[in-house]
Amino acid sequence: MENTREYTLDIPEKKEKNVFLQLLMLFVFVTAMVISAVIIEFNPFKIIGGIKNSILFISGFLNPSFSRIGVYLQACLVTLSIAVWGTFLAAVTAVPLAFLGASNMTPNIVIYNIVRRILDLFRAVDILVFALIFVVSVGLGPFAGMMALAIHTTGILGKLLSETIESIDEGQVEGVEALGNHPLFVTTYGVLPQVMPNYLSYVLLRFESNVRSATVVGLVGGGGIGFYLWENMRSFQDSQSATIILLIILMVVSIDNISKIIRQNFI
Amino acid sequence: MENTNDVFIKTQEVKKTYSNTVQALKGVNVEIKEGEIISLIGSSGAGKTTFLRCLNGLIKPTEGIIEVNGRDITKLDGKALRKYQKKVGIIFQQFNLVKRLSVIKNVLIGSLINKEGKEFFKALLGVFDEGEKEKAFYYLDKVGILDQVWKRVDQLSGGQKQRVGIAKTLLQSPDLILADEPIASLDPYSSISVMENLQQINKEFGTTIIMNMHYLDYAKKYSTRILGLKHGKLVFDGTPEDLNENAEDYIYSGANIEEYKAGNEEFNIFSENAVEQGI
Repeated sequence: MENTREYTLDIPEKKEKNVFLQLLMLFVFVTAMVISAVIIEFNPFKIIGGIKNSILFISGFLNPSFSRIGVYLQACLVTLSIAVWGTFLAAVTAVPLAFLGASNMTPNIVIYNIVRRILDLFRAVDILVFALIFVVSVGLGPFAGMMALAIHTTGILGKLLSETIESIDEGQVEGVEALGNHPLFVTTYGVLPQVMPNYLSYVLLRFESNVRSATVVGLVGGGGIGFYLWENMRSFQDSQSATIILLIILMVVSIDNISKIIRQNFI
Repeated sequence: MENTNDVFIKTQEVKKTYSNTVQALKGVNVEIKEGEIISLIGSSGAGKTTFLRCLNGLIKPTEGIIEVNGRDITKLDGKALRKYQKKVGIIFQQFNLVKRLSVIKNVLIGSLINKEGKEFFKALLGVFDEGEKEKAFYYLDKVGILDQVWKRVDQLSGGQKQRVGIAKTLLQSPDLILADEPIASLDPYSSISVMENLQQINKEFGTTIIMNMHYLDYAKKYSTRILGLKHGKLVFDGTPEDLNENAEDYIYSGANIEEYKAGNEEFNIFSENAVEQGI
């Protein structure tokens, strides 16, 4: 048998990678990194210089003082409450906002855009900045801290939920809608079962993050353990600071684990 | 709805053009009586799904009239449209059940349409009374999946899911059932089971059934009448016996009627449109 296979394959043209563009992007990246390193006075040797101070601080950890443990425990309770209420209010408020900010559920495009921008605003401003703002308007204390958490978290949960809503299986919604059901039933039976389990997971994850944030709002007057940490660190009370930091770590790790158990077993 | 010999559904010159200038329906005229089981056949893109959705008000035709018991449903909107839709059951190829909810909850969705006042609020919270649940159990038993009642729908097979859809439709007590490729996603045994269920519903309740069908043998076995759509027009309207091989070929081929008749044996098309427009 002759082997005269003479066929040409019609291989489609492959787009040439733009090497120049890639080199340019690399150059821009490196330049940006160098410039920002200069701006932030990047200097690894500073760590070496600060070793003496660090050792002094760490020695405080080796004998934490429990003299004021009662006060601190109470403050941790305040911090937890700030996190609980801040997250809860946000979780509730974010739901209607998320529906208005979901392109497949919103009544009209104007409302959709307004809500989206509001949520962006809430997300853009960090909790600490909100805390400062609220301290100025409602005074020092846990309420200011809680409101800061609530507003920022509303932005985050609202955006997450609206994106979840936008990616639901419309077929399941149609299965309720096509029968002529009332819109409230369409939402309750067609939409909510698809988004609620994910949403509750997000809420718990946000709660974990908010416990951490709540410890920090105390630094700017938002109540809770943060205040005592700041007070002790700036007066170099290393033993007391150590106790507080240990308490915070303990609190955060406990909450993380409880949250994990809830998420894995009940949602 | 008791006029068993009068026309139940009548469509006149129904046309539908989608926004991307695709003309799915080019003028469909048909009269349907109560109690018929109709299979709508034709190749993909012929307009079957579009036509079915027009019958339910899920889509509004661009032109034309659809009269159901004398009322033009294309003019209905909002609450009035929903009121009409409550009387039309619809079974989907992809089931369209709420996957995370149980079988019983999915079936009870068929009962939500009649809720008012206190019942309405109870249903929003997922509370149903025993009487309703019993009706749901009864229909689940009728389609043969009562043993799956508490399971989440996403744990069921395709055939089981479709039967949940049928039970849900039964709870609705509709006057008309539309089925969009009800067995296209099912294995042969489930397919037979679903078709037998539909046939039994028609026999027991006299419900009119209109289904989109890809499988011609099922269409012929389970229908009383066959409508063939081609390029958005009705080109065949006859009994299963009329649908011989040539008719099938013609409905699914790209050739127009003259070309087709030129090369093949005679066959019957009971629709005048086809010849007139030279399809």
